[in-house]
Amino acid sequence: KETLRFASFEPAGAFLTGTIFALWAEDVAAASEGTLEIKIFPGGTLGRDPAAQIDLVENGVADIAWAIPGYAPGRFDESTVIELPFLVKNSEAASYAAWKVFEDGLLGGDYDKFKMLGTFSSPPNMIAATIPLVEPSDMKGVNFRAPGPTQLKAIEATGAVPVGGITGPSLAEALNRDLIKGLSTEFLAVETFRLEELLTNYTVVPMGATPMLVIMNKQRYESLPDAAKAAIDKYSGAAFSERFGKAFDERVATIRERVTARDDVTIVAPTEAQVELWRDATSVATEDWLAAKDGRQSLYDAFAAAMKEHPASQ
Amino acid sequence: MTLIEDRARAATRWLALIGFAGLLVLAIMTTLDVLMRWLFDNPIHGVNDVSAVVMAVVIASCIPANLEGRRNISVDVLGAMTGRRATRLLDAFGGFVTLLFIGAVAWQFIGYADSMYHSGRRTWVLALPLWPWWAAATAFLWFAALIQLANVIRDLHRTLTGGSDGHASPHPIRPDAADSLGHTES
Amino acid sequence: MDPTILAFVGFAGMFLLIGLHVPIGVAMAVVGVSGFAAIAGWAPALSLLATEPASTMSNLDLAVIPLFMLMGSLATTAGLAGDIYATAEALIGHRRGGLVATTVVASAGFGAVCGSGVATTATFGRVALPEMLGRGYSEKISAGSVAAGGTLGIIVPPSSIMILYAVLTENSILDLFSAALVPALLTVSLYLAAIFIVARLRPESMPGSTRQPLATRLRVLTRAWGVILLAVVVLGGIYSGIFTVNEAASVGTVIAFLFALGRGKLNRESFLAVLSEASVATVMIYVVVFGATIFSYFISITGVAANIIAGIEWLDLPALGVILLLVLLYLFLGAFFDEVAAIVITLPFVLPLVLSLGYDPVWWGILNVALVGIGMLTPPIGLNVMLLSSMRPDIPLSSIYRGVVPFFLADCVRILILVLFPAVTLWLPSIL
Ligand code: NA
Ligand code: NA
Repeated sequence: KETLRFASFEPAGAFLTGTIFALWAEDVAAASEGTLEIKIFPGGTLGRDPAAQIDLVENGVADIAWAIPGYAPGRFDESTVIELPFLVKNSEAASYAAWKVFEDGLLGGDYDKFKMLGTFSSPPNMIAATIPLVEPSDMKGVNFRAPGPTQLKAIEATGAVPVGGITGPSLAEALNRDLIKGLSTEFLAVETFRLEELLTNYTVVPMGATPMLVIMNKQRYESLPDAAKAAIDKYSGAAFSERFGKAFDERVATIRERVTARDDVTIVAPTEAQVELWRDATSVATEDWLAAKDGRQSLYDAFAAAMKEHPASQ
Repeated sequence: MTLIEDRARAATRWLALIGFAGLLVLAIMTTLDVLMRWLFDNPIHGVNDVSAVVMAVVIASCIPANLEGRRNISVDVLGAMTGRRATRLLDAFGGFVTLLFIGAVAWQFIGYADSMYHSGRRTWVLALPLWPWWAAATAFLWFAALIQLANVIRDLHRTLTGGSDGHASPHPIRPDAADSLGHTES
Repeated sequence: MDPTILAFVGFAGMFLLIGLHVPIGVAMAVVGVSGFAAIAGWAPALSLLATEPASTMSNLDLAVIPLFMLMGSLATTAGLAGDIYATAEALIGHRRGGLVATTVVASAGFGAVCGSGVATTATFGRVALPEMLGRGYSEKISAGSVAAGGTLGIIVPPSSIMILYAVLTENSILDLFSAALVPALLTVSLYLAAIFIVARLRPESMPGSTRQPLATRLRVLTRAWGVILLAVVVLGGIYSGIFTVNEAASVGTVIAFLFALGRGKLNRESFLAVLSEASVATVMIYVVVFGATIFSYFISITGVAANIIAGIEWLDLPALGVILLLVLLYLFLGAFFDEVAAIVITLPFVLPLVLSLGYDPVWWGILNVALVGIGMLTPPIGLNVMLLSSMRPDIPLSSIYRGVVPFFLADCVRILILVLFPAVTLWLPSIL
């Protein structure tokens, strides 16, 4: 019986690790005809640094890991299509599309070095802040954090001061100390990092989402018996994306309901005209992204088309 | 040969000083950033963008001096209970294991810096490449490994010849290490 | 080999290497890598030797440690420790045992701008010890109070060990610092009570001194403004929400630098000395952290912590009983180990156990720091005591250890209070 080590820097109780990944691991093990055991190492017990999760799998410290490419800018660069403003509308369709473009070979680079088990997108980030930021002009001079370079670019284009290098656990202190006035994020992160008490104003514009991956060491996968490989394949790829996206969207809707009910919170759905202002203000991020490398336009188009064909987009 | 070694040992101290002076500069930059944010609501762009890698280089630059002065937390109970010659033998052994450790770290860092270069890792805001910083850290670690090699050779020579050095301490912690933490109320 | 047995072999091997004069951080790293290799293979295990030091060195939370080290060294060089001693003396020095109380209060005040216990001991070994001996206080109580007061360097925030604990357990440094405040006040009060009792029992060991005229006392009071400013900016800035901990450390370092500069204490030579002592102390801690993280990955891959928890659950001890056993374990470990080492060696086993009993990690962190603080005073290796003895070879080691006894007893009372009333620790963070 082979034991696979699945590393996550999230604590065991957190939603993605404790629910989605734990259930996935159970299903795979159950389908493996007794050839596999998948042991989850939560809370960074195999590697504390969120930016180093990809290295863990590459070096064989872990066999499988959950990684956020945005923490390690320069790796899995093509995933940043997910970060572009006004593209991703929900996690389910975007995660499906992310797998589709990977499967069609449009990503290349680091993706071929690993056995990809799932390529996901978070639900779209919104503007979440301690002050009202309803129009792009409100952003001028405001310290603002985004979870990766592409979104930082979009933020910068509105006239805000982009702040990088703050990881999840430090967000509450950063908001509390006025180090940042706001961030682009979604409701699960708001819950996980205990920001509910601090954030008072939400502006629901799709500022781009956070790409996420579950990757496996390729040699390790190749070395497994056929029954194990088959079990992994059965629950990976499109099936994993579907399950991940659906659960994530549902969870975010639940939290949003709870946050909406708070007295001290304002959630603004901007008018058509305001949405256009945001779109214009951040469009430079998309233009820069498209211009940065050859072949990005076709990746963008394919990703958008795949999202559109998914039922969750209807 | 001894001249080169003496120069190298002196260089470790200068390297550490430069590194910690860099830390002071980082502290001054952070302070200015806080003041700008506080007084003018206008922070400096990208201050904490490079802090992480600068810190790594600062710490790496102090490691050679640390090994040169043999200043790592160790418990020398056994040596204190036995004789002077046994203490030396044990110190030499501890130094040798330390050499294995720092040598392995320096060796692994080559691959690490190399992967930083090839994977094109960059900082978040200013998109500066990370590899030059890690290359510098790697160089400092190699320097540290060489210093430790010199320590081990010195230890072996001392143990074999039984030459005097006045280093053996009557206490099971090293007073020089502890004392250097306090110091200089003049 | 069965992973659980491997974990225990690794643990024993680590102690063996430490006994053979291998530095503690190095011993943990060597055992951690070898043990990890036995389960996962050499290539992954060796890769830890790059990724872990790299993420430790670039960890911005840990970066607070060198900054507080630098701040403490600069504050000492600027003469701030001497000022605070003179001020505390003007306030309480004239009572019986007043100078000993002064030493404790001044150590606590200096602890508010210095993150290291050893540095605090060394500083007051120079500032306070000669004063007390000169006024006819006994060697025992004089040296004992300096050694015990030195532990306030890590008990009063900022504290490098609390930072280390927060980073290793992924708790907020801020929570640890605010949780530490009430226990720190408790410590000082208990130490003062101990001094009062000794003054009653052995009046000959602590002569009283004459009260200085009011004008002199007021003049001396004004000298403390430097240390007060620094403490207010650093701790006040952190607690009131103006600064992050990182920023407070940076601002404090700059202020201490300006003080040293402005008072003309910072010539080329003293500046170099300050930088080099801070860098030495910093690397000592980082090397231990390298080793500790690698060792913790080895322990985690063996899954032994889960087995220990299962075993303890099987024993069906009451939670309080387990905590008291841990307290005894740390008093024992503290007798032999340096304070940083005692925490990091045991953390991979002990933290999951404490959490599984339903205790708060911040509460345990404060208790843990208090326990290893006691270890700095207990034989055979009481770091503070040995440091003083190396600074003052004329005072016998045994005298210092005996002088520490009243403070050790006060510490035992404190530990009991912290264990039995977690609210003492957790109340302040809950309202901040
Ligand atoms: Na302190
Ligand atoms: Na001790």
